[in-house]
Formats: sequence, C-alpha cells, structure tokens
Amino acid sequence: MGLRSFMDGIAPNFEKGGKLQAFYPVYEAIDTALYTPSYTTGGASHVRDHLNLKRIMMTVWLAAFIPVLVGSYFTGYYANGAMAELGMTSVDNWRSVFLDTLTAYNPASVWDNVVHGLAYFIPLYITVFVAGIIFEAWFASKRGHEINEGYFVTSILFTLTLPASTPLWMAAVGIIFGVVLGKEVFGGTGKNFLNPALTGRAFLYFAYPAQMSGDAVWVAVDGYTRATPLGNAALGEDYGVSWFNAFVGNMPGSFGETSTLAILIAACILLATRIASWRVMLGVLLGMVATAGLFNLIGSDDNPMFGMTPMWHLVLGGFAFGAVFMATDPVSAAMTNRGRLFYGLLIGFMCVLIRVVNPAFPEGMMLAILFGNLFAPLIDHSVVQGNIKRRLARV
Amino acid sequence: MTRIAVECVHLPVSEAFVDVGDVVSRGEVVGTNRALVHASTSGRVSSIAPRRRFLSESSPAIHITIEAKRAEDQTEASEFRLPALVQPDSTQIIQRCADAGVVGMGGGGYPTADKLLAARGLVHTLVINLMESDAGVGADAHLARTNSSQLIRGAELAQKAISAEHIVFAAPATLTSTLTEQTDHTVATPGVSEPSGEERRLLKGLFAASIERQERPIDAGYLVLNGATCAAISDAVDSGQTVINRLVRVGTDVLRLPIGTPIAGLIDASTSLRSGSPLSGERLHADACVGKTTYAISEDPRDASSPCIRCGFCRDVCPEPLLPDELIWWRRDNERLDALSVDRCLECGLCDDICPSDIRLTDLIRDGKRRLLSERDSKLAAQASLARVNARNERLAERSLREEARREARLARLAKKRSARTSS
Repeated sequence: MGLRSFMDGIAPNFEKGGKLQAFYPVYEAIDTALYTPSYTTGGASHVRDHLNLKRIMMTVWLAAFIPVLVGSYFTGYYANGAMAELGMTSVDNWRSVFLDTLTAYNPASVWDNVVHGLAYFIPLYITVFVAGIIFEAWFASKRGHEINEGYFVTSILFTLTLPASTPLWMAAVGIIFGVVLGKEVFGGTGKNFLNPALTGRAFLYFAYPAQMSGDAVWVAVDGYTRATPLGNAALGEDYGVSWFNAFVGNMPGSFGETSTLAILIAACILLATRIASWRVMLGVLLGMVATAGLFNLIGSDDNPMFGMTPMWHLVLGGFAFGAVFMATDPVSAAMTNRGRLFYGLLIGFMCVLIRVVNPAFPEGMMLAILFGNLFAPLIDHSVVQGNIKRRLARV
Repeated sequence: MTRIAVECVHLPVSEAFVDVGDVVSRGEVVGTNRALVHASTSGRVSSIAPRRRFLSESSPAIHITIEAKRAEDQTEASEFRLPALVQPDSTQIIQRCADAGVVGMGGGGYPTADKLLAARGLVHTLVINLMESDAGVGADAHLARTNSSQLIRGAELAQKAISAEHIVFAAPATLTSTLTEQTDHTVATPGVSEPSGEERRLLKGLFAASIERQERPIDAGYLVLNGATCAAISDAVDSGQTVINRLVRVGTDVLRLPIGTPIAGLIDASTSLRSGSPLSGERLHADACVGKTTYAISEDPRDASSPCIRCGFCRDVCPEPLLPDELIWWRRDNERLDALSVDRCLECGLCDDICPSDIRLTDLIRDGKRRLLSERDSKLAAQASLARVNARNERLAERSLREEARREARLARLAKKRSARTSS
C-alpha cells in the first residue's frame, strides 16, 4: 500500500486551503481512477473486482493514448518530411511559436516528429474536449445527471479519427453534433444506439468532404498532397507503402487509425482487462477475412479493390481502429454474446463491401459500424427470442 | 458468550397470544407467525402494533413489543425452558421443533417441524448447507468454527427425525478441514458456480442431482437444512431452549443477538442497511429488528448508480440465466416480466456484484417480481372467489328449483286431497 499512503500523504496539499488546491480535480481524478471503488466482498464465495464504470472508461481512455503517441509521431514525421521536400524551414501557422523553439523540423528526429504531431493533436483534442463537454454539462445540468466518464472516451476516439489538418472549429462542430444528436437527444449515456464519436465523424465526412477526404488533408502541411494507400488502392494504383510500414503506421491517414500495431497493443489491454468484447473483435475480423477472401476469389477486371487481400484490409484505413475501439463500444454494440459475434461479422462484411463495391467511399469502416449499430438491437432481439424458443422446446 | 443487553424487543407475529400489559418471561410463547414465537427477553408487553421491517414491504407486520426488565433480573433462572429430551424419538424431535419455534434460519423461514414431517421416510440424504453464498456472510462459518459439536448434534437429531441414511455437510473449502476433524460424516464442497448455496444448485454440485423447479428436493430424496437451523434443533432438544437468539453477522463481527433486537443500535445507520448480502439483501427500514432469518446485517458500500452502458456482464453472470438488464428495464410491465421469467430470479445478487454502473439490480428485480406475483395471486384469488360466487348462485338456483318442485308437489297433493274430500 505504498502508493495509497503516498496518495494520503499528499492529500492535504490538495484540500481546501492547501498549496495545490487548484489541482484538486486532478488529484481526485487520479485517486478515484486508482482506488475507487475500494470495496470487495469478504467471504469465501463472491469475488467482486473493482471494475466499475469509471475504471472501464479510464482504461479505454488510457489505452487510446498508445495510438495517440504513435499517431503523433507519424503525423509529425510526414509533416516534417513534406516540409523538407518543399524546402520550408518553419510551419506557416501559429504552431511555429512553439515548434520553432522546440524542434528543428527534422524528420529523422523522433522528438521533432512527436512534438510536431502533438502540436496538431493537443489543440485538436482540447478543442474537441471543451466543445463537447460544454454540451454534456449543459444537458447534464438540465437533467440533473452527473457528467459521465464515457465522454472521455468519446472525445479521444473522435479526435483520433480526424485528419491532422482538420480545422479546430470543424472538429468542435463534429463533436457537438456527435454528443447532442448521437447521444443526448436519446437520453444520454447508455440510451444512445449510435456510437457518438462515429456519428460526429460521419457528420463531418458528409458535411465537409473537402476537409475530411481527398488527397490534400492527410499531411498537416498546406499545399502538400499525398493520397492514403486506401485512396490509391481504389484508383488501382500502387498502394505507395509496404505492408510492414502500413502495419506500423508509417503512412498518411487519420491521427489514430494508421498504426495497426499500436491499436493491437491497445486491443491487448482492452481484452486482458475484459473491457472490450473479444467476440466483437473476432467477429469483425472474421467477417472481413471471409468477405475479402470471397471478393479475391471472384476477382474483377475493372475494380482493383476486388483484389485487396485480407492482410491489406487489416492494416489500411480505419479497420483496426474501428474494430478495437469503435465496434466494441458496449452501448451501441449488441449485448448478447452470440449477438456480438453476429454484430462483428456484419461490420466486417459491410466494411469490405463498402470499400470494394462502392467507389465513392474508400473508407468503409465508419459506415459499416454505424450500420452495425442500427442492427444491434435487432440482432439481440432475435438471439433472445431464439433462446426463449429453445428453452420452451426443452421444458 | 456475553449477552447483549437490549431495552426492548419487537417480535413479528400473525397472531398474538398475549395482551398489552402482560408480563412474560424469556423463552415463553407469546404468539405465532407460521411457527411459534417466544419472548426473547423477560419483561412487560408494551404494545402490539404494526411496525416496518423492509423498505419495500407492502404492509407492515404486527409486532409484539416487550420492554425488558433490568439487566440484573434477566438471569438464567428466570428463563422459561422446555424439559430437555433424553434419547428422543423421531416424533418427539419434530414436536420439539414445533414447540420451540424452529424455522429455516438461512432465510426461508419455513417451519422446520413441517419440513421434517414432510421429509420423514422420503429422504435418504440430509444436507447441511454451510455455503452462505451471499457476499461476506459469515454466521454459519462462525458457528462451524466455534461450536461445531452443536452443529453436528443438531444435524444428527434431524437425521434421526427423518430417518435419513447419510448426512453430508456442504461447506466452503475454508471450512472443510475444521469439520472433518470433528465428524465422520461426509464433508464436501459442491463443484458448482455461484450461488452455490442455493438449494437446487447445491444438490446439483454435490450429487449431480437435477431437480426441476416444480419438484421439491425431498421428492428426489434430499433435505437441505441450514447450519443455524441445526444449532437451533440441538438447543431445543438438548437444553429445551426456544428460538430466542441467533448468530448474526453485523458488519465484520458475528454476534449472538436476541430475536427482535432493533438494528438501529447495532450499526451506524447512516448508510443503507440490508438484511443478508451488502449488495442484494433486502433493504431494511430504520425500525427493522433482527428476525429468525436475519443471518447478516450489512451496509451497502456503493455510491449512486450510473447509467446502464449495456455491457451485458449481468447476462453473463446470471446463473439462471435471465436477462437482468431487461428485467429492470421492464420492471413496471408485468406482462413483459412474465415473458422474461422474472419468477426464476434467485435473488443471488451476482448481477449487483458485477455491474460496473453500481445499479441495484436485485432490488429492482425483486420489486418487479413481487408486483407480478402479487398481481398473479390477486388474480387467482379473484378467480377463486368468482368461482365460489358462481357455485353459490348455482346452488341457490338449484335449491329454489328443488323447493319450487316440492311446493308444487305439495300443492298437487293438497288439491288431490281436497278434490277427494269434496267428491266424497
């Protein structure tokens, strides 16, 4: 209990009148994340673990920081690389104030890349967080609820699906749309049937296609265009990246979606803590492999996407991020165990179907998950009815 | 064991045998409530009035309140005891259980005499249930550790009463070594997931005996008694003591308390208190008292509930398995509850245990279940009374028809006589 006594020891500094009183919320947040609820059952039989809503949400939030760091590195790497290519010595926006002093824009330096990436991620995340929480707080105060920890997850997942160059105001509009129309109008946390982060992302995708898709948005340097491998693939061109680089995340794309490796590490955390459902992840994977394999077999002369193998589907676009972080959102996913598998299969199937058959949307994962969200209650209903029927037959 | 001094006790009864103002002595019969109820302290009956026990109770039960005499007058000598039985036979043991007011003290509250009587001759294995699946409950474990001879003696008396062949002690792994040292009877830990203390699951875990819901365990040859019940049987037979005390786990201590002790003085009542498990036990009213089935008084450690995030953990842990989240969503809709088989809920509290949002599932499900069952009862009662009214109306109509026929026959006879007279 060394940590506990340390936390107790420093507690007076944060209480009213203490030196660090202003930081009490931070202390409180760390303390509750670590130690509440502290009750477990005594006795021999029941075992109560500490997994509560707060801890679930905090774990997902922390797991999301792995893609944040890796994503920031590659965002910075591509930005610095583009600058070197264009012969720029400083970024032409307000970020130069920090970046000029902190970095040398050297794409070979890990520090320069991470800091450059964070210079895009942090303002974006703060904007998203603040814009969304204003509306969360507004609804919560009107309804007499508490602000739910779930918002931490929504905000970071939403930010990670954005291209680094997204204007801040646009990110704010997106998260507000997601929070209000994706969640609060249905009654708040737990009552929404769509994933709020994806709802906001889909809104931006359709409302501002110029800033959310195309070739110009993926590298955070104005006037520099570079298509995503998925975009290249849809045009039948060379992907422009090796599979291994795509797996590690060394390719242009949205903030958190590029590095399948980072996402898989986060997935291990979520599965080991049993926070995310392995059935959903497995279902999405199987659905994707089966559908992509089927398209490989069918083949096509004029649609190059038919030939994309499951291995490539896995590492390109938002597939891995969606499967690990978005599809597993318990609120909008199916909640029966069998249903979760079907729900995952449906998403994997829809993702490949949209990517391959609909040339207008090279990125199918977002729409596939929203589609899966819509069908989750129906899947659950049929699973439950099936169970009831089987039970009646047995009795 | 030091005796806890109480100022007054409140005993729930369906019928009181004493009046306000009567002076009773400890151990004496004062009323009945399925089984006989005995004064748990010597003193004066100060009131016979309704008193709340549980927060979700529809109507408060009548309680006899006995104001205790001063502590120094509460001597062993002044206590009323039944004569001890030496070498009792089956009938004597069962009769003694009835006289001493022994009931199922693990929560059921069913009169033990009735249970033994029904089981006599049918049961080959008597199971003593020490599993206490409710979280953090330790009253039976305490009994097994501190007074195992009494526990074993009670079990053997019950065995004799029903002439069962075997006794099996079903105990958690932590207790098996303690018990095996004390007894030659089988001591076993059932290999079944929680709630392992639930009768049917226990038998399934011990003997792989599957007993349908509509069947009683005694139909399959098993009788399950709780540990505290065995101790009460032994007390009743060997020392003639009526059920006026019981072991109760209060917070982290196990105390021997007089039945009827108000809970208010036992534990700081700032948090919500439950009878039984801290998460899923019945919520106690501030006026509640220790009853014969109160094995634990626990504080609910949880903060306010958060919204359901549909994680489905409750579905995974439900032993039945039911859909706890749907049961609470539809808790006001009896038809839906019925379709979701709410009556199968064991109230084991595993869903409360796992819920990340700290939702009080068992409370909500129990309320819904009670409402459904009471509606079903009142419907059945209404049907029964309708059938009675119809039968009565039929009977009346039949009788009036019969009387009409008799009258007409009489009139016809009279007319015949009259005509015979006039003609003569």
